[in-house]
Formats: sequence, structure tokens, C-alpha cells
Amino acid sequence: MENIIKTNGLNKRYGNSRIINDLNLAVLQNSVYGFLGPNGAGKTTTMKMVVGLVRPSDGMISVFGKELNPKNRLEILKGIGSLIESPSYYGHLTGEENLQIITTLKNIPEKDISRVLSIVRLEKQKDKQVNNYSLGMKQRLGLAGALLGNPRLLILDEPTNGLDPAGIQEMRDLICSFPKQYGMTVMVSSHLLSEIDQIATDVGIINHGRLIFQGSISSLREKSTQQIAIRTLDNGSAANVLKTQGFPCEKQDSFLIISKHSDEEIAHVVKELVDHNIPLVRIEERNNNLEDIFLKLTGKASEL
Amino acid sequence: MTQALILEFKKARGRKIWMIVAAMTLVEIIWTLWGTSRMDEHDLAQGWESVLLQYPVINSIIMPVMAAVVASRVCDVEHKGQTLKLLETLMPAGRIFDAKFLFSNLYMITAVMIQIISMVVVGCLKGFAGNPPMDKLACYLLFTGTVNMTLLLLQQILSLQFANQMVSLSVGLLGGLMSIFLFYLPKVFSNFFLWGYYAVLTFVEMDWNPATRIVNYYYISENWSSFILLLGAFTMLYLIGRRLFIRKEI
Repeated sequence: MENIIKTNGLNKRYGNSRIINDLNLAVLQNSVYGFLGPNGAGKTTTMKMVVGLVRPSDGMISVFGKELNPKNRLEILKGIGSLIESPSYYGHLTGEENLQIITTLKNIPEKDISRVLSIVRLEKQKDKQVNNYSLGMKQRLGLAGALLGNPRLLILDEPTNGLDPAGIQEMRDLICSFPKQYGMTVMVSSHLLSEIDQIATDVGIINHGRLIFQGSISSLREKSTQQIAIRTLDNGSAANVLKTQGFPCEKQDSFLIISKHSDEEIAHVVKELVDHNIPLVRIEERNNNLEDIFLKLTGKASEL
Repeated sequence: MTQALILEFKKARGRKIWMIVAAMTLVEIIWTLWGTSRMDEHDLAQGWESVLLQYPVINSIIMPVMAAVVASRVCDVEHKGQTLKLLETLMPAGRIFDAKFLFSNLYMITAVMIQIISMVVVGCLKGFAGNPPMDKLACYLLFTGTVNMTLLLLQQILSLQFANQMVSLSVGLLGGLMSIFLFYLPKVFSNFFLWGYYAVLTFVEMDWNPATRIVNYYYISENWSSFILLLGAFTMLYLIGRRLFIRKEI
């Protein structure tokens, strides 16, 4: 499948600090590409570079198979709808007037406004001043603006920020529907893995400006492992027994962790411990979920 | 560019910029009317000269403030709604800068045109000697329009560079104060400050005799060399300001 966005050795430096470090993104056509990373990892800067709001220090960006440069930037951007950081709006104008400004800018007929308003379900609030909109409504208006002209690519930077749970679910459903219903490719950033897990088909994980994982969400899930945690009243002796029986373990808090084995093998382990008079008090199955993988990859728990 | 200008008109809807310009222009006209309210034969004989000096003096304090307010109102909407990151994905940054400048200038030019109309109307109604001096009025339009345009440009650069509009408004207010102060200093000082050009380009001077308390106004030759200097400053400021705006990352 064709890459809608491709970056090669992308770098961004501000003085001596390197914000983006040798980034090689590949966003496939008709995918929902989840761009994941802790706060300050470089997601917004990368997206701004893709839409030409920030100039890369080094490297190449190609969109729709064309290398982005100052001359062709606006021509390429005609096929992109973006919502970066927070929605852009003129608060003293109504929702509809705001969209009229975008139709003038995009040189598209005003009748498209009613289509996008119905997609984001803002038809009833279109005559209200945007200053009187809630944050969720502003976010939806921003999305409506990005959808005007039916772009081939949508770039959404943390689109669920500030939304209530119902709004978040609504936004997720919308994003998931775009590739199938409108043939769009969506690049969506988030610092929440659970969110990306629910909407993305592909994922790129960025940390400290470096891409540390890129691939399908299923290949990320494959990294998840299952383990068995055992707790006894004499973990030292238990560890020796497990080792002699061919079950290497590692200590984690007050548990001994062994890798996933068949039920028969676990039954054997339990029997051996009991035969050696080691009091067994807990045995549980643990899943190393996507969140754990993300933490392991980024080494950041505090940001989540 | 037409499309960009149309957008500026759409964005200005409900911003009441014209009301601010109208109020300030009205203050200037009332000030002038007050100045011409008690004119004797001697004053009427030099009525045109009198108003052509009076307006630049009032302009020196009002126009820098008007330029600051207009530029701030036109640029502030982009900061408030964080719309530059939307606009710059759909339109070249340079065109946004140019359209804003042209649009704001319409207000400033309109204000000067209203002043000129008010001068002619007052002159005819009061019975100033002779016909309206069209060449002098054209010079007034050119000089005042150019000084306004340069100050507006400076204000626009500041309003676009700093999201906090207090920066540009403070410069405008201080500029207005400096401008009126420069009017009463030798013109050589005024050449160094953009706000001083209302005084530098005035082509009417006043001679006041303390003994007789009679004021005589007279034309002096237009200061074209300073006008060219101002045009040079404008061009430089435009190139720098536009480039700063284009280079600014959002």
C-alpha cells in the first residue's frame, strides 16, 4: 500500500536542543495512524512540520508521494485537513461564518458546510457565536473545518483533549469511520495508549523525538506477554525449587515471576512446591498489556 | 489578494473597528470646529492655512493611537482564536500580512479623507478666503496618509509579533505623546522618529506676535527630502516586518 506521509531523517533543533531526532515515519493510505508519545515527546512539532508550520532543520517530508517544499507546500496542503493543538476559530463569528471563511480559503462551495456540520453534529449550533460554544463544540467545529473539501488526509493532534467521556467516544467513532466512509487517511496523535488502541490500525511511538516503534497495532499487541506470578512464604527456597525443575524465575516485589506455561506444567510446579513444604499463598496469571509495553518502550510512567 | 481582502472584511464583521475610527475622527473634527468657532476677518483670510496646521497637530496625538487600535483589532483576532496555524496552511503568510495591512489602511485613509472633506465644508461654511487650495489638500492627503501608513505598519508588525496587545498599544500611546512633544521641538529632532513626521511634513507655519497677540499663518515649501526619507523607512520596515512574519514559526 502507498505511503501517504513519509519522512526521512527528519530533525528539528532549537539552539542546542534536539526536539526531533532522525524521524522516519511511514503512514499508509486508508489507515488510522496513531502517533503516540508522552507529553513533550515531539508529536505536535512533527505534525506541524508535516503541514509546513515549522521548518525542519534536516530531513525530507513527502506527502501524497511529493516532497514537501516551500513552493509546492500549499498545493499539497489542499488535500490535507488539520486540527493542530487546539481548534482555530473566530470567537466573535458564528460557527457557520467560521466555516464560510474556510470555504473561501479552500475555494470550495459553501454548500459543503451543511455536510460537515451534520458529520460533527453541529447543525443546531451553527448560528451561535463560537465564543459561546463549549470546548467540545469548538473541537467539533475544528474537525468540521478540517473536513471541508473532503481532504484525502486528516491530521488531528490530540483531538479528544478537553472532551467529556461522551464527547471522547463520539470523536473516536468519527475518526474510525473516516477511512471506510470517506476514503480518508487519518494521522491522530495522543498521549493515551488506550485511546490509540481503540481507533488506530497502525501506530508510531515517539519518545524524546525518536521513533521507538512503528508498525501495525497487531504487531504491537504481539509484544504483549503472559506471565505467572507465584507468592510463597519462603520465596528464596521456592526460587531454588523452580530453578532445579527448569522454571527460571525473577523476583518482583513479593512474587516470583515465571513465563507462561501449560496448565500441566503449572500443576507440576505447584506439586513440587508443596512437596518441598513451601507454603504457597498466591498464584496468578499476569498479562503484560499494551500500556506496560508503552511504559517499557518510553520508560515514562509519570506522563500517563 | 482579493480573496484575502474579502476574508479580512468577513473577519471584521462585528468587531466595530469603524466605530473606533469614526469616534476618533469625530473628536478631531470637533476640535477643529472649536478652533474655527471665533474667527475674525484676519483669521478668515488665512483660514485654509490655519486648518492645514491645526489638523497635523491633532493628528500627531490621535493618529498614532488610531493606528495602534486599528492594527490591534485587526491582528488580535488571529491570536485569540489561534487561527494563524489554520490560515498559514491555506494561504501564504506574506499574503496574510499584505491583506491585513491593506485592510487596516482603508480605515486610516478614510479618516484622512473625512478630515479633508470636513476642512472643505467648514472652510466654505465659515467663508475662508479663496477657493479650497486643492494642491495643498492633495499634499496633506499624501503626507498624512504616508505617515499614517508607516505608523500603522509598525503597529501591525508589533501586533502580529506579540500576542499580548498591550505591547503594541503602549507603543502607540507613547508614540502619540512623543509626537505632540516633537511638534514643539526643532524639526531636526523629529526626523529621527517616525511619530515626528506629522511635524516634519507640515507645510504651514505660524508666527505669533506676543505684543499684538496676532497670529499669522503662512505656507512654506513642502519637505520632499524628508518625505523620501520616510518612504525609505517605510520600505525597510515593510520588508523586515513581512519577513519576520513569514519566518515566524507557529
